[in-house]
Amino acid sequence: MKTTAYILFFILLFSSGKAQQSQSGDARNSISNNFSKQQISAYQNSSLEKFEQFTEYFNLIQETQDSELKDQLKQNIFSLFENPETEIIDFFASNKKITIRQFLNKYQNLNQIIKVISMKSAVSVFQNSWINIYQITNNFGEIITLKQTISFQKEEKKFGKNSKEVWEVKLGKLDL
Amino acid sequence: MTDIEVFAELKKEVLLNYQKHYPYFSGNWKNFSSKDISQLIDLIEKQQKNTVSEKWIYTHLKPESNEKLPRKDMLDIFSRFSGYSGWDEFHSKIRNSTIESSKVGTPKIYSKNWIFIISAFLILGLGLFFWLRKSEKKEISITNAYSGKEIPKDEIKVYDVTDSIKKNLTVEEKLTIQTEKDSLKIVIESPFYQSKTVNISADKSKTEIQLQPNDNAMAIKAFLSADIKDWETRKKQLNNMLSENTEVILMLKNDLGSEYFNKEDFIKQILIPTNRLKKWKIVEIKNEEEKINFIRIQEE
Repeated sequence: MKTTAYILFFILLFSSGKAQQSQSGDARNSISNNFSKQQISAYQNSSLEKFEQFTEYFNLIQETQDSELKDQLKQNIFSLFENPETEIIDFFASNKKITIRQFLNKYQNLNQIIKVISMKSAVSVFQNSWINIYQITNNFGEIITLKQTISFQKEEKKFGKNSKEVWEVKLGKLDL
Repeated sequence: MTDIEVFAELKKEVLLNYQKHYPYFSGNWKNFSSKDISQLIDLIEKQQKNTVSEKWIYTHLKPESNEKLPRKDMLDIFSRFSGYSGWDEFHSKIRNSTIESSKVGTPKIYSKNWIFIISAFLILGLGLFFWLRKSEKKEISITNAYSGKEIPKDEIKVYDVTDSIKKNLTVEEKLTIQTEKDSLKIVIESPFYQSKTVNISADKSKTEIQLQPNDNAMAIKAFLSADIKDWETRKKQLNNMLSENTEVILMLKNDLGSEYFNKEDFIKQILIPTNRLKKWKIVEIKNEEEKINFIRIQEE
């Protein structure tokens, strides 16, 4: 019984130490620890350009009848997001959360066009993300305000045989 | 020289003579003390057998400037005290020496003026020479070796590599470079053309340079402004011209950050025209075994 208690105590001690180590590691890799306000603003601007690219690719999917081009455009959109399963709100219809893959499949032939009215990034920045706010209109001219989490973190990126740690801006969850 | 000016010279002579007798005195009439006055009166009395009043000295010798010339008999006394037969001799000698010195002095002034004028001209001439050398412009014509079309100056960088040091040269309008040298060795670099080293000699008014285009780089540049048409062909071409290890760096506006693309990401980016691509400008391209393996893009 005593032995079990000791083992449990050491496991707890070890895991709490690991957690602390991981937290301090996270802090070291936080946005504010690595970039000045001006630099953060430059990367925020890049994230807004990525959202604009998303809308341009999305609108092209609606316009083209070329299925191969549609697939290519979907691949382009996936590369802008964290991954194809990133959840976004179905802002054209039900306001239900669906993945970006489902969203594209659903609307690829419905001639829905996204028109961007305004885009901005929130001033406050979290450890490895920030919020972008967009105003868009749908085909009926309705104004929809969207909030998107943008992730900005260090990742191991592969360049063929080589790889290096780089900071990557990715579009995340999209909400109302 | 006026009589008053001659009298001023006499006052200097009187002081010099007084100093011969009283060497410890090193002042002038202003600090000539009452003790000095009484000593001077004694000296004149002793040497000239004449008397001079203290008041006369205060009135005529002590002031820095005189308005009136003293009486002739007093001038004679002080002239004799200074080693002359009288005022007339002192007066004529001082005036003659002044005339002579002015006669001798004039050419000196003239010769000084000439030295000054010649020096000024020399300095101006040298300044003009170096200014003209500095502002010397060499016109160069840089064309595409195949099309013969002139290459825009924002697509090239020109370096002076004389003495093994690579120095950036500013390329001005109409492809002219400004240099202080008569002849120079330049290297022209461009992301879209093969580098070339050229010797520019002094005797040539215009140097014509042809650059061999880097086909792959030219294609990438063209793709950046292409429309959606033929996207599949472009995808195949990009796959062939880019090395598997391709690294693309996008320098964000004002160099505040950078984004990295690998081969796959970059092909996706430039395959489909978007507003973002319109702000991109290729500034550097490197090749490895005839394939592009590095691209640097500047966001404007």
